[in-house]
Amino acid sequence: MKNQFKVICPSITPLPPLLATAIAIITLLPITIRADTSAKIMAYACYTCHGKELMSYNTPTLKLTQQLLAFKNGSKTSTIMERITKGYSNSELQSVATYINNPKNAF
Amino acid sequence: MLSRRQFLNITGSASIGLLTPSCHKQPLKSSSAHIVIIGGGFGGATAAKTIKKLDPTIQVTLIEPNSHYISCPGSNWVFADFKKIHSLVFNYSTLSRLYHVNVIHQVANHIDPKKQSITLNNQQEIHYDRLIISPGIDFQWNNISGHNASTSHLIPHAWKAGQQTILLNNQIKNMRNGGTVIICAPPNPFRCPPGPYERASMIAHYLKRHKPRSKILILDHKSQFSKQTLFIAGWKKYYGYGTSNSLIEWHSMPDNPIINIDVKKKILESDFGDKFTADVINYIPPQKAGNIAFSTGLCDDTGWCPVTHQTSESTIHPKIHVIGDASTHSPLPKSAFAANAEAKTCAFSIVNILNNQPLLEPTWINTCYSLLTEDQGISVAMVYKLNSKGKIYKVEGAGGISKKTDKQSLSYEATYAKQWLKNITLDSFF
Repeated sequence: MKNQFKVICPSITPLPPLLATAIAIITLLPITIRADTSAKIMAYACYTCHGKELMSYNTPTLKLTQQLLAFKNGSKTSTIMERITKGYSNSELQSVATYINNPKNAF
Repeated sequence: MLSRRQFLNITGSASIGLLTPSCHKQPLKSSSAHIVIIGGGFGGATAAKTIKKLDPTIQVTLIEPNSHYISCPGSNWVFADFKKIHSLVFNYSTLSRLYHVNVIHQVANHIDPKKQSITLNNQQEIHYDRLIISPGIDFQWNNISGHNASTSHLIPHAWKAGQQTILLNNQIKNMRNGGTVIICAPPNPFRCPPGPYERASMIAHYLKRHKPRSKILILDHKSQFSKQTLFIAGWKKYYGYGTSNSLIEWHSMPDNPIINIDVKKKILESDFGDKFTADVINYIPPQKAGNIAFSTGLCDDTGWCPVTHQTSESTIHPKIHVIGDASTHSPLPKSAFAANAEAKTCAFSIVNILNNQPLLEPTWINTCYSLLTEDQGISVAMVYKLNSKGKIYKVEGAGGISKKTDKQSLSYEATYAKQWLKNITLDSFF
């Protein structure tokens, strides 16, 4: 809900000049390495199959991250989650777990 | 009882009403923006819902001729008798009631990309700031003689679910024991790559129990197909594939396609003059983007709509975005899952563009489940990201077909296939 308010009344904070310059330079450079996937877009990808479960999700972030990493390295048995989690870096999996468990991002 | 999500949506929208006046101090670009979506399938419905979730101040209009949507995913299960077609029917009331999407049940007749306007069948004109079209597929009939759209009540394609599914199902159910069902599988690219082979499995599941002397012939334009090794293994296990009694035969005929159908005598003829007689013919025509994409000039000579992958914006007409089966987001396949994924990244992009925010780093996931029997399932999955040239690529090491093929694993996958259908439907329409 807080998220929705943010959209309605966004506080437009100007970027610090150095950061703004850095972003301008980065966007002008030919990018070869891209940033981590947006946690929010990843979370929306999760909702396609897991929306219903995630509505009442209460696994702590740390545990969820560990589960995703265990799917990825095969130590936790799965049919499909191993194939999905292998598409993401450990830091991306941690970010999406953090995003999903933040109450302000309630699905 | 309200679900948590419905509760959040109701309270969320009530709060918007209370808070909006104080927001007027900060003029917002998006507050007056109008996004129109043409086509209420998995792509269009998901786009409408996602935009409203991301920014409820954006006006969203969904134009869809039909009052109900009938899901193609799950429609093959009707042939195996464990899924009823009416359980695949959804309406748009949640989109309008909970998400405040303006749903108009009209045909979009004409799009003027320069004026940014759409003319409906009732002559109403609608202006858009951004247009998303998700028109799905249409069929190409020029590769075949003797059969076209006007005879599809006799030779159903059943590649758009609904009346066509019922027609084909009735023909199979009325067929004699010992009859032949011919499925003509289309050339690439087409909607739901594993679909024809799941369909063969589901029809075989029915025939095995009720008409075991019958046979299914798949006459294929292709030399290989989706999840081929898993399907063949399943057919061997359950339908005698490879033996003289096999319920399913797969004939790969890339150089010798079917060119004529005698719809009365139910005889198919190939380019080299081979003849196949059937009791039931399911001819799945070659495909192209839905008509409105053509009449708006959004297609290239492949018959599909080229788009910038990150935003799904047409490379031909700016401010028009194309998602779902009609668009080329290759290597993403043409599937409901991919349409849902494209709808989301498109919604994220449009909302950020309208709010002068930078685009987020996207990802897409696709998973296609198919059933071999009522309780044995297989899957193919892939994770996609954007490369430095702005093109979608398959992430190395991710995805692939089902790894574990023991009975228990395939049983889990069948359960997940059924659960997946429920969940993607909720995620897209509710």
